Order: sequence, then C-alpha cells, then structure tokens
Amino acid sequence: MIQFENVSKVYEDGFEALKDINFKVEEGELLVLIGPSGCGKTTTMKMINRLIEPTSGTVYIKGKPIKSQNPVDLRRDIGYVIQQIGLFPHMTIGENVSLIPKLKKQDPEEYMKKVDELLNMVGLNAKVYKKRYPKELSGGQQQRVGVVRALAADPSIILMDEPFSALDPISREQLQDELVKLQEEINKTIVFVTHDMDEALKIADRVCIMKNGQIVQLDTPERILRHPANDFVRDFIGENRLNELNENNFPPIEEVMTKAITIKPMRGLAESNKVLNKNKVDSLIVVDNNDVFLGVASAWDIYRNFENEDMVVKDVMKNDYAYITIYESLEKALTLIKESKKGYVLVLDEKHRVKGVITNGSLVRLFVDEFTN
Amino acid sequence: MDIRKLRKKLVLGAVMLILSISLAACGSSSSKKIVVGGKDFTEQDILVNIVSELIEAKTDIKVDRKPYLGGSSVVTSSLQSGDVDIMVDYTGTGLVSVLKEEVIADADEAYRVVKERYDNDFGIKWLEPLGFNNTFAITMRKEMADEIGIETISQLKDHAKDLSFASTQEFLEREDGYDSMKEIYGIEFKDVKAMDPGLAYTAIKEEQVDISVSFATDGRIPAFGLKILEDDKNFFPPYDAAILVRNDILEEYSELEDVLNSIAGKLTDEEMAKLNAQVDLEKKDSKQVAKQWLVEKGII
Amino acid sequence: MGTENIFLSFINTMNERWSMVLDSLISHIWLTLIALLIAVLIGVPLGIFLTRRRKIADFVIGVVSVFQTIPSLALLGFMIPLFGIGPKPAVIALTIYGLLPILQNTYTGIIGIDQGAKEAGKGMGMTSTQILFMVEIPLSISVIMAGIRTATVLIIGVTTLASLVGAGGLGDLIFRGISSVNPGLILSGAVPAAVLAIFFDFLLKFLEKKMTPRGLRD
Repeated sequence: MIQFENVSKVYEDGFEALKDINFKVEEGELLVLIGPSGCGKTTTMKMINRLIEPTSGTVYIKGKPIKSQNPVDLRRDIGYVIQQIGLFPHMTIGENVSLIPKLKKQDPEEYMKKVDELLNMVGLNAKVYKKRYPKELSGGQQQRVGVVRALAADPSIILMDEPFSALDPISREQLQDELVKLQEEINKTIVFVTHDMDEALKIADRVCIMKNGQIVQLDTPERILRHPANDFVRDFIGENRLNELNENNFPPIEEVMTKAITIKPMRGLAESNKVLNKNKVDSLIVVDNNDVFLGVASAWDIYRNFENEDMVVKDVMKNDYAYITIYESLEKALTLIKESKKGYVLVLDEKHRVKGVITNGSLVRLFVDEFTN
Repeated sequence: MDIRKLRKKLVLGAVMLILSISLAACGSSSSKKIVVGGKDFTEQDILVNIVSELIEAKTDIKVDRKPYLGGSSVVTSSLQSGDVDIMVDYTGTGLVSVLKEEVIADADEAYRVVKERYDNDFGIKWLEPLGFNNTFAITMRKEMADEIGIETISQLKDHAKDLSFASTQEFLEREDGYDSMKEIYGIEFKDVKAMDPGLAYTAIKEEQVDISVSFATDGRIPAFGLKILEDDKNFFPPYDAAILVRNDILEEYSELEDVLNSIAGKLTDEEMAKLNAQVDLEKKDSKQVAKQWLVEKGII
Repeated sequence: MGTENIFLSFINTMNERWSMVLDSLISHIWLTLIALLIAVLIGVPLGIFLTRRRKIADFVIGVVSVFQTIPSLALLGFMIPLFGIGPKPAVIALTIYGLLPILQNTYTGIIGIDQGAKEAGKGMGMTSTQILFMVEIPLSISVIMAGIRTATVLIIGVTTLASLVGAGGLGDLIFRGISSVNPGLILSGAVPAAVLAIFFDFLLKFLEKKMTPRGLRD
C-alpha cells in the first residue's frame, strides 16, 4: 500500500533526518512509527502526505510514486490526525468533519450521513454534537472528532501524528481502545506516530522502531518484545516491560503445541482405528478439506460403535471441545486443560482451522526441556 | 572611604556649588548692568543682540542679554517690573495687546498713542521707530508678479479669480483678516486654502498656491524669492518696531538715548527679513549677524 | 476664563457657526474614511504577504514604524513638493499614520493563530488560498479588526493635521481657535473630533464582535 524506497532527507543546515529508509506498509495494517525525538518518525510520516519532501528516494502509494501527484489531491485522499487536534475553532463539529468531503465536492446528503454515522461510531451523538463548537468539547471528545474528520472523506490511508499524547491518561486509554475497535470495522491502512511504547504495543500490527533517521527494527509487537534487535530496542522497550515478560515466561502456544492428528469426516471407523493405533493417540480431530475444526472422535467413541459398519467418524464425534486461539497465552491453555478434564486443548486459528493441540504430554515435555536446559 | 560617606560628601558639594552659582547670579543682577530682554522668536533674538552690541560698543555700560524670555506679555511685564530694562516692541502689539486699544490704521498716530500712554502709564519710553513694520504681508513669487505685472494688492483685483491663496488659520479668523481684506480691496480668489504658516511658504515656493499671507520681515520672503505686494490702501494695522526703555534707566545713563536712537530708521523690512533669513535658514549665529549688520551700516 | 465661560463660549460658537462645524465635520469624516480605506487595502494584504515572507517582515514593519515617527509637520512638508496641497497629501499622510496598527495586527494576528489548525488544514489537503480564507483570516479577524479600530481612532485624531495643508476638517476650527485664543472655537473643533472618535471606536468594537466567529467568542 505504502512503500518507502531508499528515502533520505537532509535539511538545509546539513541535518540528516532520514538515512536511506526502506519499508512497506501493507493494506489494512496499523503500523506504528516510534522512537526518541529527532529519530525521524514524524518526518517519515509527513512524507506520506508530502508535507515534507524527500531529498532522495521515492515514496509509493498503491505502486504509484507520490512525487508525480498533486499534493492537494493526494492529501485529500489521506486522513490526517495531529497531536494538537487541530480542529478549526471557528467551525462547528459538523462543519469541521464535513470540510474535506465538501472541498472534494461530494454530495452533501451522502457525506452528512457518513459524518453522522462516524460520530455515532466514536460515541458522540451526532444530533447533539454536530452543532457544537470545539471549545465546548473535552479534549478526548475533540480528538474523537479529529479522528472522524480524518475518516469523513473515506480515505484508504490515515496518518496519525501522536494523536493521543496531549490527552489525560484515562482518555488516552479509551481512545486507544476505540481505535483498535474502530480499525476492526473500517480496516484502513494506518500509520501512527508515537513516542509511547505502551501505546505502540497496544494498538500496532507492526511497530517500526527508529533511531537517528534509521529503522532499527520493524516487526510485530510480540516479536519485538521477545527478540529485541539490539540494546537500543531493549532500552527503548524498557527493563520493566522485559521483566514483566520474564515473570510470565511461558513460551507461545505455537512452540508448545504438538501436531494434531486429524481425519476427514467421511472416514469409516475401522480406518479411524488404524489411524489411532498408528499415531498412538486416544482421539482424532475431525476437520473438513480446509482444516476447519468439526469435532473430536475419541477412541472410546470409535470402539463403542465399532460394530456398525455403516457409521463414519463424523457420526461418532463430539464437538463441545475446549479450544484456544493460537494468539492466546499458554496460561489460558493450562487453565482450559485443567477445567475440561480431558487432558488436552485444541489450538485453532481465527478461522477455526486446526493448528495443533496442547496435551498433558506436551506440557510434560515443556517442563523437561525447561529444567534440563 | 566607604561609598556612602563619599556619596554624602559629593551631594553636599553639589548643593554648595548650586547655591554659590545662584547667589552669584543674584549678585550680578544687582550690580550695574542693563538687562535687554527679548520675546521667543528669531527676530527678537537678533534685535536683543543688535541693541546689546550697540550699547557695548558705544558706552561702558555692561549688558545682560536675555533673549527668548517668553511670549509678548512676559517680556512686557518684565520691563514694567524692572527685571528687564530694554526691549523692542511693535506699535500694533503695544496698542492692542498691552493697552487694549482699538486698532489705529495710521502708523504715525499709532506710534504717537503708544508713546504717550506708555510714558504716562508705565514710565516707559518708546524711542524713534527702527524703520521696519512687521505687519501682515501679502506675498507672491517674484517671477509671477513680474510676469503679470503687479506691485500692489489693488492690482490683484483683476487676476484674483485665477489665483489661489494660502492663508494661515489666524488670518482667516481675525476680524481684520481675510474677510475685511476681501471687502476693502474687492478681491475674490479662486481658491482659499487654510494652512500651517510654515507649510504655506513651502506651498507657494513649490507653486502649489500663488498668493500667501505672511509677516513682512520673515526671512523666507527674500530666501524663497517672494515679493511683498504693497498694502496701498493701508489695510494692515501698523506694527512698527521701536526700542523701549524705562525712563529711570534713561535718567541713570544719560548717553543711552542718543546711542540707541543712532539706529533709528535704519532697519528696513527687507533688511530685517534678510537678517532673519541668515539666522533661520542659513543657520548663522544671531550675535554675529547683529554685529555684522552694525558694522556694515557703519554704526560701530 | 472660568470653566463656565469656556462652556458658554463653546455653546455660542456652536450656535453661531454650526454650518462651518458641520462642513468641517463632514470633510473630517471623509478624509478619515478614505485614508482608512486605503490603509486597510494596503495594510491587510501587506500583512498577509509578510506572513509568507517572514524574513523581510521585521524590516518592512520597521520601515512603516519609522514613517510613523516622522513629525507630522515634516511629513506634510515633504508631501507638498510631491503631491501639492489639499486633500491628496493629507490623505497620504493619514494613510501612512494609520498603516502601522493595521499591518502589525494583521501580521501578528495571522502569525499567532493556532499552528495546529493551520497544519491540520494543510495536511487535510486545503490549498493555501483555502487556508488563508477559511482558517487564517477567520481565526485572526478579531485581531485584525482591533488593528483597524486603533487605526481609525488614530486617524480621526491625526486628521486635525489635514488643516495644515489646506485640506480642511475639524483641525481648521481648532487651529483658528488656538491662533485667536478662542477656547470656544477650539472646543467646537475638538469636541466633535472626540465624539467622532468615540463613535467610531464603539461602532468598530461592535463590528469586531459581530465578525468574530461564534466558536471563538468568550
């Protein structure tokens, strides 16, 4: 969606703000740019809407170099939320948020509907708030309006420049939560600048850590926490957060789980028995052709009905099994195993595809590894 | 020595110094010295110096020059009270401002009246007129006057409808000002602009207006090449200048009257205007200008 | 002369010379309005221009303030050779005197607006003309109007000087009064000038309030 190719920025006074930056932002991704002040994060972001022009290199949006596009038109297709909120104090909330669609000469009826919808979506009753002026709103409400304004013209990209940093901690947390929720619904490509690591870890799909005009590490929050690229990142994440991580030093589910022995639903019971014996397991996971979970057939279920030659495994399976998604913690898996009394818990992904299984056996193996290391 | 003590001594010293200076000043005024006072404009400054130079050159009397004392009333009351012994004044001023009399159009009559009244009322003597009459003057650029061939205000009558006139606010407001002049001479200008007196000179010099009203002895009249149109109907009240001396001084210094009268009638309008111009426009020292004139005239 | 007498002579003068007072007042108002209009037409665009060329702003405002300090008589003296006498040099001089507050308030008003609003406008894709008319001017209008108000009161005062170059106005009455030691005449020029200043100040304050966008009012 957005691509930086060998982008550098040298200011007139010789200050090198960016040194040969390369990265991509995927469509629908929320990328957080973070780093100490002067690291180039804001410069990077402002290059996307051409508020700052690179000295060399190219920025592409949807594969097209933005240098060749009219900056005004470009900016109208990119939502922009800034730290100081930047609502126009002389315009009502309604006028503020409908400004860009109006400048783009969109149909008033249509965009007004959209504006109402968006205001309601961020918890501001459109009927009440549209006629009000910014100063009549709290800081948190104002920045909600700021976000709505950025969204009003339905841009595919939104830039957010430390949008929550001026707010009190409670409003900030709320807005972060709302942003995550909103993003699930609107699924925009968002580039978000912050200096607050908690914020970054909370909202980001990927975090890009910058220092002295260079990218130090660009990865998912999870991987950055687990595998900081160097001491700078470690320092930047902070001892506290790393310690926190160590206190619950459970490996991710992915590392603990074992392969699930699966079977397709239309297989006969004799064949099922063969699979059981071959893999030395006491249950089979029934999945469809896309690996989507259908149920579990235990050895007991199979043997009990073994005489009936017309039955297939689908007929004997049960599907009330406890499962956990692959992104959740091992801690939760342990709790589930304990509660289910089945001795294992299924691991699925967000589309309910079977990824593996955590059994008592795999937990034992984990402990053995832990202690022998 | 500590600073505070030093400062105390300094202050004390300064106070003593000031006291001694002011005592000396008092002392000098009480010794035999004649005080010549002047009003607060250039012409009077020059006149104070002419009178003083003359006395110093021709007698042994010591003179104390006090030009720029203040307005007309300040100098006049100083003369009456004895703080000032000699001044130069104008008949029109004496008559109207001091004696509160009506304007007298005839110059000799005006002089006669002020002379008699000052002698009776204040014990002050008007010496012989100096020769210039610092009254209102209607001026025109010389070339223009030559071109259309006019010398007098009466001759303006036929040309006035094509001419613009720059006036001071004062002249427009005075009863013996513009309105009366219009009536007596029967002239109606194309255009009358009320202006600042100084700027009126600039305006006529820059040919923005054709006629202007000013005072007869203003230095800018010769300097800017202006011509005074003759007041052929004696419309403007006389403001003849003369030296005024208190009678007791004349008695005390018997030679003084003759000495002062030696310049009577010798200082014309044109000459006074030139002297004014030398000080005002050429920035010469008024004392030097005064002395030079006396020398040139062969008086000293 | 006692206060009572001055008041009486003022009333008498107004009675006897009301047509002259009226004429002077009208020409005073005209001179003021024309000079003000020109000062606004120069000061506001110049102030806006300077916000785009900040490097030269201090210099230009400095030059205009130097003009302001030229004594009026000297300024008018320079004008006569160039522009003659009458309303022309008067209006030019008045414009010069009124320019500084308008220029300065326009410049500082626009410079002083919330940078966030401007940056948001630019980042959202407003053209610089749109930012000027939809953001910068509405946000600084009260400061600009205050500058115009200051200039108006200033010009009304300085317009008395117009009578020094034959442009008329209430200064005629004041200077005639001074030269003839006539307090009544002085007052018949000074009082209408003061009333005029108060009236315009009030009027412009009202306008200033009206023009301030509702979201910016206290």
